[in-house]
Amino acid sequence: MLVSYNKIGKGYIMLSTYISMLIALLIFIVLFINSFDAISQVGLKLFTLEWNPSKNEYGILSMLYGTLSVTVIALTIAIPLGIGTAIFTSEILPSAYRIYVKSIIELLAGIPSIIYGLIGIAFFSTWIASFFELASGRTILTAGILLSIMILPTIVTLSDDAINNVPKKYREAAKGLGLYPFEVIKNTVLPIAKKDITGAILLALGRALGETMAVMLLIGSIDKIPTPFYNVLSPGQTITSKLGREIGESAFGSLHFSALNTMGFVLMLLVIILTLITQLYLRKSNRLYE
Amino acid sequence: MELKELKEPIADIKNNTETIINVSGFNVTFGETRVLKDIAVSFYERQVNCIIGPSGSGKSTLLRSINRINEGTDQIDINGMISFKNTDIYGKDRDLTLLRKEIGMVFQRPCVFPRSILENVVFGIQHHQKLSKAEKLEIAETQLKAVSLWTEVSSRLHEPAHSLSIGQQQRLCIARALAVKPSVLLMDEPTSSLDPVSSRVIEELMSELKKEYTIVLVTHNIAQAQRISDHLIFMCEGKVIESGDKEKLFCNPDKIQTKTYLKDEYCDCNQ
Repeated sequence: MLVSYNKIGKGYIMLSTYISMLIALLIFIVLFINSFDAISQVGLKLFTLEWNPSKNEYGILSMLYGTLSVTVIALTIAIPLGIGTAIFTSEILPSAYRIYVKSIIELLAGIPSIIYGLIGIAFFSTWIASFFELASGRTILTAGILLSIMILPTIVTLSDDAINNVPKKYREAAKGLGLYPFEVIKNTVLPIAKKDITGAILLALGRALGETMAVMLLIGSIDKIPTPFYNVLSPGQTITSKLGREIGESAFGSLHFSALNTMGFVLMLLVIILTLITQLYLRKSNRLYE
Repeated sequence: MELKELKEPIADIKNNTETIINVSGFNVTFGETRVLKDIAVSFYERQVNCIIGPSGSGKSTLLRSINRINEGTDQIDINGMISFKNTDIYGKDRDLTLLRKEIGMVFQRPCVFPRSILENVVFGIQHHQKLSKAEKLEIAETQLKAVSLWTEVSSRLHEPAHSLSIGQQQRLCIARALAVKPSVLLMDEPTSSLDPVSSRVIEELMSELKKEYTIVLVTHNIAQAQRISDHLIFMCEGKVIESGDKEKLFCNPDKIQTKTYLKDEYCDCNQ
C-alpha cells in the first residue's frame, strides 16, 4: 500500500516537472519553426533598421534597441529604489508594520498592466511632455519610467525576503564586533543576501523585457533608433509592442508573420542568455557564500 | 572600620582583584515576562566569571545585557544599572560601537561570515581602523596563535571559513573577537555545540585568556564551571541566588538551592 503511494507520488511530481519542461521546450521549437522562413529568406538583413512588410524589409534592430533601452531605464530606476525600500522594510521598520508596508507595495504588483498604461497615457505622458517641452509625451523614457514602477514591487518583495532570510546570528555577530548598524547591513547582511537579491532583479528584468501592454501604449510606436541614440526623449518601439501591434495584421504563414516570430525568438534568446550569464556570475562570485 | 571590612565580599580579599562590571537593581522584561529580577552582581577583572543555572533562568539575557546586544528586540524593557569601569553602560550618550569594542562576545553557535579565514579574523577590527595587507596578516597571525589555530590554518588563510570544523570555527570566532582588542569577553555557552575534545581546547584557551582578559562565561555544564571558573554566579528564575568564589559555592554554599543544583543539577527556586 505504502509502496504504491510512494510510486504514485513520485510519478506525479516527475510528471509535473516534465510537463513544464516540455512546454518551455515546445514554445522554443514552435517559435524557431515559425521564424525559419524569415531567417532563411531575410537572413542577416534582419539586423537592419528598415521594417517595411510591403517591401519585404524586416529589420528588427530598432525594436531590439527599444526593448533594451526601456529595460535599462526601468532597471536603473527600480534597482536602487527597490533595494533601498527592501533594506528599510526588513532592517529598519519595526516588524509589526512590515507586513502592512509590504502588502501595499505588493498591491502594485497586482494591478493589471493595462491600468498602468491608461494612467500613463492620461497623466504621465502629459507631464513628461510639458516638463521636457515635447510635442508628444510618448517616449522611450516615459515607457521606461512606467515600467520601473511596474517592476518595483517584484524587486522590493523578493529583496525584502532575501534580506529577512539572512539568519539573525550574522547580524548579532557583526553587532557584537562593534559595527555600526549601517555597516552591519552593508558588510554582513547584503553580501549574504546578494544571491537572492540578484534573483529578484532577474525576475524583474524578465518582466521588463516581456511587458507589452503599458509599453505599447506609451512608447510612441515609431520603428526608429533615435538620433543621437541616447536621446530617450524620442518615441521608439520595443519587440513586444511591435508584436502586439502587428501580429493581428499579418497573415499566418506569411514572411511578415515569420519575421514577427523571429523577433519573439530573439526576445526569448535574450532572456535565456541574460539568465545564464547571471547564474554563471553568481556561481563564480558566491563560492565563499555557500 | 570593622564593619566596613566585614562588608567586603570574601572573593575580593581572597583573589585580590577588582570588579570591572557591576550590575545593580537590573530588570529586563520581554513583553509580559519578567526575565531578570533585581539583579545585583559583580564581575571580577581577569578572572573567569561563570554564570550557571537551569535553562530559562536568564543567564543569557544577563550576559547579553552587558554589551546591550539585546537591544532592538521587540517589546523589551530594560531598567537598572550596569557599570563598566565605573561608567554607566546604559548611559544616554553611550556609543554602542565603542562599548562593544571594549566588551567582545562569542556566541553559542560559531558564526563565521561567508568570507575567507583571514577576512573573518580582521572583520571587526578593520571597521575600527584602516589596515594594510601586511597589518591584516600580522593581526591574523597573532590572534590565530592566541587561540592556537595558527598551525592548523596558516597555509590556507584565504580559504572559506566555512571549510573549518565547528570547533575550529568557534576558535576563529574567538580570534575575531580578540582582534578588536576588548578588555572583556562575553561567552554564551561557547562549547555547547562542540564535541568534547574541541570543548576542552576552548576551556584551556579560556584559562589562558584570563591572564589578559576578563571572561564572563555562561554555561549549562557544571563540570565545566568547576574546571575553569574563578567566580561563580548561580541564577534561577531570573534571580541571582548566590554568587561568590568557586570553592565556596561548591564546598560550602550559603543557600540550599545552590547546593542542590551543583550536586544534582536540579533546581526548584520556589522552595
